[in-house]
Amino acid sequence: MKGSFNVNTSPSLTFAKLNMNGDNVGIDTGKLNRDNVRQVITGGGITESDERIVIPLPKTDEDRIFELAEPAEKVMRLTEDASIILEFCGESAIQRVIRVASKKTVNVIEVTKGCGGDQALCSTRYILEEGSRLKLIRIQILDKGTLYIDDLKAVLEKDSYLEVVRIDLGSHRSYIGSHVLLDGKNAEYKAHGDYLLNGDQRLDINMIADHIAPDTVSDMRYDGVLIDSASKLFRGTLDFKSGCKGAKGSENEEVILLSEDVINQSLPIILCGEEDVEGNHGASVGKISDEIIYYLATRGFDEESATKLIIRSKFNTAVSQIYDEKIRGDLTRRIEEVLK
Amino acid sequence: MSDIILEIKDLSTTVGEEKTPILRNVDLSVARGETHIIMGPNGAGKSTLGFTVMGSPVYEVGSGKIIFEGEDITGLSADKRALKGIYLSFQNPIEVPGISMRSFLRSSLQQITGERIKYSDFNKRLEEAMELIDMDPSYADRDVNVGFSGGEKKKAEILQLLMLRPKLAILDETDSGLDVDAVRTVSKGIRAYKDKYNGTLIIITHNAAILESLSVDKTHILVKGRIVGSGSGDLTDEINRKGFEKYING
Repeated sequence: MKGSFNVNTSPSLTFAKLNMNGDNVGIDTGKLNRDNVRQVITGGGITESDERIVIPLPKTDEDRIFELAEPAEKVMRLTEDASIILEFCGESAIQRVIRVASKKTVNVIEVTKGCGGDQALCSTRYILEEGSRLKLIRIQILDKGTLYIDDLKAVLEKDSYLEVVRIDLGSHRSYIGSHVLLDGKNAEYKAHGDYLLNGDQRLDINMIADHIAPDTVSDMRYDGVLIDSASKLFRGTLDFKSGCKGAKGSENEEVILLSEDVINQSLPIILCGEEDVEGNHGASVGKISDEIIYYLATRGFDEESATKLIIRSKFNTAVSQIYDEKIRGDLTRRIEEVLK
Repeated sequence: MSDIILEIKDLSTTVGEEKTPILRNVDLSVARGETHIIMGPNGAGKSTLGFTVMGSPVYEVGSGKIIFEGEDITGLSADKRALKGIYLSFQNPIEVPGISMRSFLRSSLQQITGERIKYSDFNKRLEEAMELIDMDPSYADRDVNVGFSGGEKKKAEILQLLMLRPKLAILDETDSGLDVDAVRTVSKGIRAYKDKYNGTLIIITHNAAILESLSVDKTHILVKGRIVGSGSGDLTDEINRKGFEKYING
C-alpha cells in the first residue's frame, strides 16, 4: 500500500514557504518486510518480554508507517554492553523496544548497513530506567541508493543518562528523527552527530528534547561536512515544559561547506513553558577558516590535503569511541572513499 | 665563500584592497647556519617580513624577490615553501581541533619529507624532542594547541621545529608572553635546532633573554617597513639599553 507520509515534522511550525516543517515521503508500506532485516545482537545480558510500551507522545506519520509495516519486536531489557548489527536487505523495516535496566551502565553500538534495497526503516524506543546510563553509538553506512528513515524515541527516568553518538555516511536520502523525553528529575541527555555528505545526498534531521522534570539537562550537537551538491536540513527543538524548573538545554551545530552548490538549512527552536530554565543555541556555518588553511600550509599541507586533514579530524573523536576494530575499519574506509 | 640560503632583494609588500604599504625595499642576506635578529618598534613590519617569506596570501608582494637556495620562490605558495625547508613559528599559534599533536606532526613530517616514517622511529623522536623542552608527554595526544596555555603553544611551535628540522626557521616573537623559565626552555630548544641540525634562524624578538644562549651573527633594525640599521649581535644589546629612538628619529 503506497502512501505519502509527512515525516520529521517540527513541533513548532514556521513559514510554510520555507518548506522546513517536515518532508513528504512516498512509502510503499505493503512491500516492507521485517524478514529483510538481519539483526545480530551480541552481549547485552538480554531478557525479552511481551510487555506493551506506550510512549506518551502524539502519533506521528512515522508511527503510522511502522504500524502499517511491521509489528513491534519483543521488548529487550539490557543489563550489559551489547553490539547490534542491523543489515537491511531489500525493502525492510524493523521496530524495536529496548529497556536499560535500572542502575545499570550499558554501552550499545548499532551499525546500520545495507545489501541492496530501496528502503530501510528503523524505529527504536529506548526506555532508560531509574539511575541507568546508556551510551549509544549509531553508525549508518547504508548503500547510496537507499532511502533511510530512522525514528528514535527515548524516555529517561529519574537520574538516568543517555549519550548518543552517531555518524551518518550512507543513503542518498536520510531522515533522522529523535525525540527524547527527560521525564525524571536529574535526567541527562547528550547527543553528538557527525555527517559527511557528497554527490546529491540529502540528510534531514529532526531532534527534539522535551524537558518535563526539574533539573534535567540536554546538550544536542550536530556537525558535518557538505560537498558537491549535498544538502542538509537540521531541526532542533528544546521544549521546556511547565514544571521543569532548573532545566538546562543547548543545541549547536557546525557545518563546513565545501562547494557553492551545497544547501544547508537550520531550524533551531526553543519553546519555553517554564521560567526558571536555561536554553542556548549556537551555529557555525562556512568554509574552513583561511587562518587554519595557512597554518597547515606552513606545515607542508596544500589546500586539498589540509581540507582532508580537517575533515578526518572532525570524525576522529567519534571514530575513536568505537571499540570494535572491524567497525572502526569499515567506517574509516567509507570516510576515505568520500575523500578520494 | 659564504653559502647564502636566503636572499631578499628590494622587497616591498602591501596589505588589503587599499594596498597599504608595509615593507619598503627590504634587502636581507642570510647564510646557512647563521642567526639573524630582527628588532623594531611595534608596527614596524617585523611579522609581515616573516609571513611574506613564508608565503602568506594576506600580503601582496609589489616588487622585489625572495631567493631561497638560489631559487626564486616569490611566487610559491606557503606549502611549497615548507616543502623546500622553510618554517615559521607563529606568534599566535592556531588551534586545530580534532587532531592530536602526534598525528599532526607525523602527517606533517611525511608531507614534507615525502617519506613514510615508522611509528616506532617517530615516537622515539617525538619523545626526545618533548623531553628536551620539558613538555609534558600528555600534550602529544591532545588536539593541536587546543586548550594549551600561551606558554605551551609556544613550546609546541618549538617542538614542531625540532621534529620537522627545516633548513630555515623564522621565529616570530616566540618569547612573547613567556615567563623566565619558559623563555629558557624555549631557548634550549632553539639552540638544539641550531647545533644538531645546522639550523639557520631569523628571530623576530623584543627580548634579549631568548638570545642569551645563542650566538647572534647579525641584528637588523626595522622601522616603518625599512631596514634602517644592521650590525653584529652587539647591536641587540645597544637596542636593549637605548631603545629605538635613534633609528626612529634618524
